[in-house]
Amino acid sequence: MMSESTNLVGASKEGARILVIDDEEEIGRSVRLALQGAHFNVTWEMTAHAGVARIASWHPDLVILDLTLPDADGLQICSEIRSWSPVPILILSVRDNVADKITALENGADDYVEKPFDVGELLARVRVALRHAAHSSGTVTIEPIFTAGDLQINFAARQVLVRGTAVHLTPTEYTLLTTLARHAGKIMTHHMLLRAVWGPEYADDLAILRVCVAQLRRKIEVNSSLPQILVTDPGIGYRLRQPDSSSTAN
Amino acid sequence: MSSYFGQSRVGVLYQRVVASIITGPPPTVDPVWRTLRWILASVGSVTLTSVVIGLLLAQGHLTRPHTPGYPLDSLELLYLIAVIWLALSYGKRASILASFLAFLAYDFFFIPPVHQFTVDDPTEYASLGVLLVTGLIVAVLISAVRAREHIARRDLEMTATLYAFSQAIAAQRVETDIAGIIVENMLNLFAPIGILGCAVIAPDDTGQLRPLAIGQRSSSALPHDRRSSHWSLALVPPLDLPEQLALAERAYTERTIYAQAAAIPPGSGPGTNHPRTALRFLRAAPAPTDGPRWYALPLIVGTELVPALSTRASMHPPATTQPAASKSGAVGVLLCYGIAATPQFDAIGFTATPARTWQLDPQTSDRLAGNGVLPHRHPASTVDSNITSAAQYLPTFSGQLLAACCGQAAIAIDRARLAQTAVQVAALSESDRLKTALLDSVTHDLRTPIAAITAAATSLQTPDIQWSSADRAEFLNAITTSAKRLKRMVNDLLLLSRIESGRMVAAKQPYPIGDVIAAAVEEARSTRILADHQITIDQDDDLLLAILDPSAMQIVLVNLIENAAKYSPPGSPIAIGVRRDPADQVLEVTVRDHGIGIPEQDHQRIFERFTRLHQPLPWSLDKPPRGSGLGLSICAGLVHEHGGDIRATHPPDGGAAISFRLPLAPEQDQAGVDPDLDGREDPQSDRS
Repeated sequence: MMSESTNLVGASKEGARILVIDDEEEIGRSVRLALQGAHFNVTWEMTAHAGVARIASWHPDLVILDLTLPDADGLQICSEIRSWSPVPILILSVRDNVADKITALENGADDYVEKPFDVGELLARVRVALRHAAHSSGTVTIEPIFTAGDLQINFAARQVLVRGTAVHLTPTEYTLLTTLARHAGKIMTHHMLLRAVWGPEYADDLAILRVCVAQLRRKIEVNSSLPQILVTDPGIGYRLRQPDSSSTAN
Repeated sequence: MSSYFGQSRVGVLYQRVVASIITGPPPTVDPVWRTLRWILASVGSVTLTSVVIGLLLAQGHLTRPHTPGYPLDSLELLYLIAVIWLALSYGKRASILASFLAFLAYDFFFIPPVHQFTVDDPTEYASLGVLLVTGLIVAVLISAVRAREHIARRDLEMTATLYAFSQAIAAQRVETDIAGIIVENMLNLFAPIGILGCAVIAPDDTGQLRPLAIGQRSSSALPHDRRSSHWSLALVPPLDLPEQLALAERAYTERTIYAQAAAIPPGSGPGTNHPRTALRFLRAAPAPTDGPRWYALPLIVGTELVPALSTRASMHPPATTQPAASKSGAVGVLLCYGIAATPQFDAIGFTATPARTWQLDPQTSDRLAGNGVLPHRHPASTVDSNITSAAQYLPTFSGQLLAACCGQAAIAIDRARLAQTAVQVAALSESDRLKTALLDSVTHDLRTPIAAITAAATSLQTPDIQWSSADRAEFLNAITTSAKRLKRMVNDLLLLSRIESGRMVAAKQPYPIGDVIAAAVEEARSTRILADHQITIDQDDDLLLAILDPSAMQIVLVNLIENAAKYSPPGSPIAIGVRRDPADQVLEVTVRDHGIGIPEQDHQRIFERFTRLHQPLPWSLDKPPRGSGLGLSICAGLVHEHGGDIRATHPPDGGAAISFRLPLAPEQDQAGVDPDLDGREDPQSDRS
């Protein structure tokens, strides 16, 4: 059993601070150990109230939140945190229904990892969420050139290259692509995309989104029926592949 | 009310049905005799009054003092008594006639010159004129009042009948019960006018029309005049034959009243005789188109009846049949078997086909009557005047009543159906909600340990992290703990499903409860459930035998001890008490703790599957208790399997107590124990 003092142990170098809120002892312990192994600074709380208090006092860089907590519903806690803190929230839950995922994402969660999960996958999602947080808070400037596999976007030139060849995109397709690229690696719900690209009045018009995604895929994917770059999260939304970390030269 | 139903289209249509059912003028009351009766009454009452006046004058009492031979001035007013009586009893015509007769009689018999229609004293003209005019006015006024009173009484009667009818229906909740009441009341109300069979037919779940209730009356329900005349045959055929259902179906889908000539009653086949010949044996033979009929009256809520009265002859499906339209209005069909024999039949719109008419030869009829199958024909003289007068207004009155009753019946059936739907929907959504909750709970409880195992195992597999041996041990510990938890969960689920499916059969035998308690405490201690708690056992007699399955009862006790330990602060005692109740031949085992207790409102709920009370534990706020929510439902299932019961209580000094009762073994099996002997052990035998 964890004692209060061990909760704070586990700092590693100047690793980002991660708060784990999960009432399941074995999971919490493993996640904490794994994150510490990946050189993060980890704190673990078992109840929603203790977790919220810890966010206020400890200022974590990322929160990993379970949805089934003994003293509150995780979705509520998520929107409550979001109302006063921009800290990225990664949901870690056994709930696998699409409605819960969408609710979580639209309540301010940044990503959703389903239990049971692979630690490698969790670490990757954690890194993506941290990078986005860094971007949006302005501490890191957005790369002028985004590269993911065959796809290269030159934001300054408004140019999209696929395998080195320029592709012509309509303004809507370009906006959709750049919106996804700005959140590369992170899932964007249908509503989020529709609101960002078409505006709030189109928030429920899934058809135009589907059509536009299909057109975009035909232009950027090698095989648009087996997309590798712009992937679907069924029922929830779309996700653009993470940029290659060492690819600014092209 | 009468004006509403009288003028509405529905009222008119239903009136036609009733009119067609009713035998026109009751055959035994001769129209000539009826006319003669009121004329005789007029003449007789005027004659009687004249005789009375004559006698009085003969006594010399009432003559005018100064003009002997002349009657007193207002003596003629005696005639008004007769006029009033006639107006009340025989109506306007009789009293008007009497007014004129009185005028003539008074002039002829009493005003000099007597026995002449001339008058000596011209002032007597005034007296006679007053008699005539007063008589006429009284006749008209009283008749009008009588007619109004008649209508008022009729309306009152209808209101009362309808009220009773709707009260009777309203007392019922179930559709078939309502249909039964409708049939019973319809027959009570309308059998006297010839409806002898009645069925409520409504669509079932599949939309197929089926009879909900069927009832019939024997012909003895008919007034004597109807029975005795041409409808001595009153065998009501079955009301759920395909042909009748087809008629009902048409009425239902088209929302129109349908009438159809009824088939021939059993015992008679279509003969070769001309209908008229066949009907001759029936006295006062009616037109051949008359005969028993089926009526299908749609029961409609809210919408109007489709204004077309159809008969068998015109039963060609209209091109515009809209089955969907009927769903909006009709909730069912009232199928009636009625006896129609009115000469005005065709006049009101029925063009019946003589397709299949009554075929009975007199021998068959007499044989049936002799066997009691058919009532004997009654002599015409048994008619009483009440039925006659009732029959006069029945077409309107009963038509309105029939329309109103059908409306009430439709509303009642509709209401029952809505209520039933509401109950079903509520039950469905409740069961749906429960299923979702169960599934969520199972999902969570099964996935969580798997997630822990996966997380720990994949962490160990991560190639680029070097784990210390302490980290390694912790991951492995997480894996083994979670695997145990998963095993426990799966075992509990399997056990519960065996209990609930009835496949868990306890091997019950007389067994000392003390041994089971000892074994359970031992198990709890070895699995470190009781690491932080003291346990006390309080039993009168540790050899007390109950009828139980030791292994099942051990599961119950371990679960209860584990619960007690989980929800009470470390170091607090847990007590197990055993008490026998010789009167009921039961034994009660109580496991109690000094923990957070169970809220009163949850005392039942905790024994349901997957119920977990999310109460924070004051002594370990950051570490909520966890469990599958199956333990207590397993306990309850096993105890019930033993024929016992289980309940939660509130001990007065706090904490929670869960008690279960088991049947005691019979007296002769309680080896070596004398129940009268106080063989108590140390009540606080602390075994921990």
